[in-house]
Amino acid sequence: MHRSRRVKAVDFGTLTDAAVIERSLRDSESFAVIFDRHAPYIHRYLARRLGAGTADDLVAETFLAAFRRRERFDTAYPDARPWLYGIATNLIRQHRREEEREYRLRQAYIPALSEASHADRVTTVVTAQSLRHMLFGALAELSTGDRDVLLLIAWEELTYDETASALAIPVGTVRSRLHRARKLLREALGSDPTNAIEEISSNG
Amino acid sequence: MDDLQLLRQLGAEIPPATPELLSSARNRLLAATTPASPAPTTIRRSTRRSWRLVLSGVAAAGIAAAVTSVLVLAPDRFGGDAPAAKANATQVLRNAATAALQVPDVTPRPDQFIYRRIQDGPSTHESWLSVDGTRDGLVRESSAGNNTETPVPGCRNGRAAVVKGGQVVPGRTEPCTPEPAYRPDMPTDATAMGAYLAEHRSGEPGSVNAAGKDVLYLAESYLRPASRAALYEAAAAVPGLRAVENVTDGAGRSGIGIAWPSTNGGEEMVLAFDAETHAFLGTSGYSAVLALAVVDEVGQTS
Repeated sequence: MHRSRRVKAVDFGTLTDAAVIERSLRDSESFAVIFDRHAPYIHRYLARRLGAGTADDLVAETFLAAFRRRERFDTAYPDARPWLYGIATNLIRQHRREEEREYRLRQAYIPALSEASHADRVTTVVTAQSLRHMLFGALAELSTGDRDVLLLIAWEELTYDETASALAIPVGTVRSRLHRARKLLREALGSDPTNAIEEISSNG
Repeated sequence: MDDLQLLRQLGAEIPPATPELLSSARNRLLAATTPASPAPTTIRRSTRRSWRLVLSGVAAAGIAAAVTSVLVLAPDRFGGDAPAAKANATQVLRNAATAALQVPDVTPRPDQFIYRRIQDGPSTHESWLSVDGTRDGLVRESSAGNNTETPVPGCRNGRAAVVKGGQVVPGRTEPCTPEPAYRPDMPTDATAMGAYLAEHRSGEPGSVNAAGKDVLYLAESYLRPASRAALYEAAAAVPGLRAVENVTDGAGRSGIGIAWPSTNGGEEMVLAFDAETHAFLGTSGYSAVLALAVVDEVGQTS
């Protein structure tokens, strides 16, 4: 028993997500491997959009939903993360008011140094009050579809193709939504964000 | 440095979750993946989940006449006797509790829907959610000229239609648990409501601000008069609240506020109540509950 578990663990290390999910159709417990690989990132995505408290709960919902739908995962894709982002995004849509409230709260919140220790000093300077106020304000006002695309690309670093597959929309739609979202961001920041940043940096 | 880079830096403030943070979610998943398990945790989970959905998404407060199904938000100016203008937080909440009890007590039927309209910043959210969770509901949102409608499929015989990109996918269903928009088993006295809030708290124990959000979610939900009164009474027992005069809700209606302070540098949250009728209005500066009704059909607003 002990031995077979160890062997299993070694196997999983080399398997793609698609292979693990296929295997989980026969051996459901192996789905935990998918959780261990991706949950820290899915949780962060949920926390960025809804706050940490809600993320704790919804990360479980995301993986439970993924587990229940695992037979529908398209095993042509080796990496399950875009699929998981899609499921998490659907859950976020049911919490839109919380999301907007979260951005409003974070507008005014400058992280204490200890909390920002993972970020470099430049970050702290750049995200000074006025800029974060403008950015979070703009985020709260984006339409849901535009915001999903913008944040999957900017925060979660998905490619256009991955974003399209996560949201089940064409790549052309990803481009047009991203374009529209960035236009709104730039408008919120004023015509030349670079100037604003330099001003703040030199004052800081 | 462009807009996307700026945005990335805000994202970088939130680190990936640690294994400790994820352990309870992992346990919930394991409970569901273990074939032999009768899954007591799963039952608990779905209760909690439907509750959350009620809280966050789409619940409403309302009263229906048996036939006409119309609803009124606020009692018409009866209730507490202390003048709210100079009242302290406790008195404001007690007045709200007294006023809540004046609203006729009508129980929604399982085949009805809870209708709610909320103004939240520039957006308006309307929802029709099945009282027992088995009927097909709808969420409609409008923001800056964009209107979206999202179906909320009812859960019947353990299956619900699949929704993708805001559309029902024809012929496809998935496993589900009904998510009632109205819960008949809410506590009806302040002590039990206090215990309920503590058990279902969304934040850290002792976080007054998080407790305020929990109260807000419930205040925006359908509650029968006794439960609504119990909610405000339970809130009145929270230490550290402050009355704020002359606040304005998200729709511009003025009232008296109850401030729930934040301890972590976040903004305090202020719940607004009508100074005369003592009815709950919304949150100061952000949101307003504009309509709450029990209706017979999706699309009906009164």
